[in-house]
Amino acid sequence: MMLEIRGLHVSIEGIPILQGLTLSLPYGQVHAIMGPNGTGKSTLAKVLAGHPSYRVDEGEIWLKGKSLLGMPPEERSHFGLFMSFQYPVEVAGVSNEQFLRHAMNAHRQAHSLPKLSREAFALLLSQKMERMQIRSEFKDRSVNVGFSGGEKKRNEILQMSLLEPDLAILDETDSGLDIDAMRIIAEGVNDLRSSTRSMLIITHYQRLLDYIRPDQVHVMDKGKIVRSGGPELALILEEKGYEWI
Amino acid sequence: MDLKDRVESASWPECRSSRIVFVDGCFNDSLSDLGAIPSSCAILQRDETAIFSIPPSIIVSSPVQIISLFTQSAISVLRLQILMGSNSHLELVQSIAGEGVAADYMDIMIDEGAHLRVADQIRSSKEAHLLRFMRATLQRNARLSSFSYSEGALMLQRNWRVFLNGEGAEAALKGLDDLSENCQAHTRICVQHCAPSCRSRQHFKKALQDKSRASCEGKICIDSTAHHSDAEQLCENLLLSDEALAVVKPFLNIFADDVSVKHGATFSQPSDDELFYCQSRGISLREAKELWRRGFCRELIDAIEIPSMRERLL
Repeated sequence: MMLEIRGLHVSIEGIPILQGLTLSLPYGQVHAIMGPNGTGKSTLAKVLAGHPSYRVDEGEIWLKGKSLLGMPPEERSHFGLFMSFQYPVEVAGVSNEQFLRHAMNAHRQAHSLPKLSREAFALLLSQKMERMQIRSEFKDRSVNVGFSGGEKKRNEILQMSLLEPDLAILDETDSGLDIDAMRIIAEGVNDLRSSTRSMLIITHYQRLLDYIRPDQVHVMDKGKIVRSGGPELALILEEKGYEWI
Repeated sequence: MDLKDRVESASWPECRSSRIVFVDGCFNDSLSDLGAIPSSCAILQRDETAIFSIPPSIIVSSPVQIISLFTQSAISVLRLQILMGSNSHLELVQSIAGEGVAADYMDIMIDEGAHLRVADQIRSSKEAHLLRFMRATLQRNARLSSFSYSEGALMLQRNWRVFLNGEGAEAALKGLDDLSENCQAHTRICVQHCAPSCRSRQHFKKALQDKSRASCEGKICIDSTAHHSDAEQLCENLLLSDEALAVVKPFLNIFADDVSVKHGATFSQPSDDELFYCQSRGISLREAKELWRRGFCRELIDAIEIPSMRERLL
């Protein structure tokens, strides 16, 4: 299994959010997580990535057979986990190129690989930006500053394509996107699908799943998974709503 | 490092032939290079004061660097007077490197229509005490643009007074303190609008790590005859540790009608979410704070006119 979560209980400032969540994600599969607002979907993403505000009260999280509990966020990233943020953060004064080169070289250093030179990185970045249809001027702009919603989400997928994670968690990547932006992002995500890479897609709506077809769909409610099924489950929810569950 | 090496290491490439060197407050001819400075400009030493005068309508095309070295552990003082004739132009870069206790006084007179740009970089030992005084008087339509960068010292104090004496005069004062360990940098500024339609801008940024301290006391005074004055003051502080301390005290004394005067102060720390974003990309917490610090400083560094100074600080 790429990811195993067993009986996970998580709280924030003493308030329980995840209440006994269990999930298994095999290598090479894409699973979607859906559910009403406030059920803990984004909390799950942040806990997997190691956000310090959340406290794991009970349970286990295993990535590629190694426990993630106690591992700082940067080490989880080096170990192969990537989270695309629902609300990507702005880093004023730091160019996209600088930030991404820093991140890439941090990964390379963690794996005892030599740093990429500026020139080599610039070439790689240009290729990836072209694939994501991001204009080249964005590499010199401050990270996410002044970016539209769609541009921020495309920037997230650009980062993912550079860092090549084993497990990618996409937290409401489709929120605020128009159809064209969603298509471009979905293409970027689908380019990264492989038999050794897994993805967790957190979304409210079925429409993204038209472009990124999941192997399984899970529905969350009150902090745990209450229903699982194939891709058709998303279509049923679209028609009948979450109350049907 | 001997004096010559110290001068070489402090020199900006753009100023190789326009370099004025002071050692312990005295003009040093042998270490200076005045080749690119027009011969009509004069450098005189009168008692303890060095005078650099630029005649009217002279445009000094190369930036001129003033290198001030202090070698003694006792108190060292540099007094410099800059006299800008009407419609003259000068770009001055000042490099200060020292130990012990050092003070420098800069008295600037900018005549009608003259433009002066000053950039200074303070790189001193972390045990130094530095006192810097600047007084600038601007006549009608004169321009002063000033930028000061420091990494702090055990104690760094800047005390600037700017008088906008002639109608239409403008002063833009900027500063960046990038402090760590126990370094301190304290800035006191007073901009006095004495004539109508003058414009002043103050913009200071302070990045504080470890146990560093900074303060900014910025005063804007508008005389009763200084109608249509336009003045702004902003001090931004980035606190990168729980033990860093920043204090901002703005003062506004306004005695004229029909003026526009603004002041602002910000204090920020990168939030958990902002640091987490960097860490989630594999960047360590320490490096994430470093990226934040560099991003914070970038705005003012990008505005530096001397390319090699800008590159060195990036």
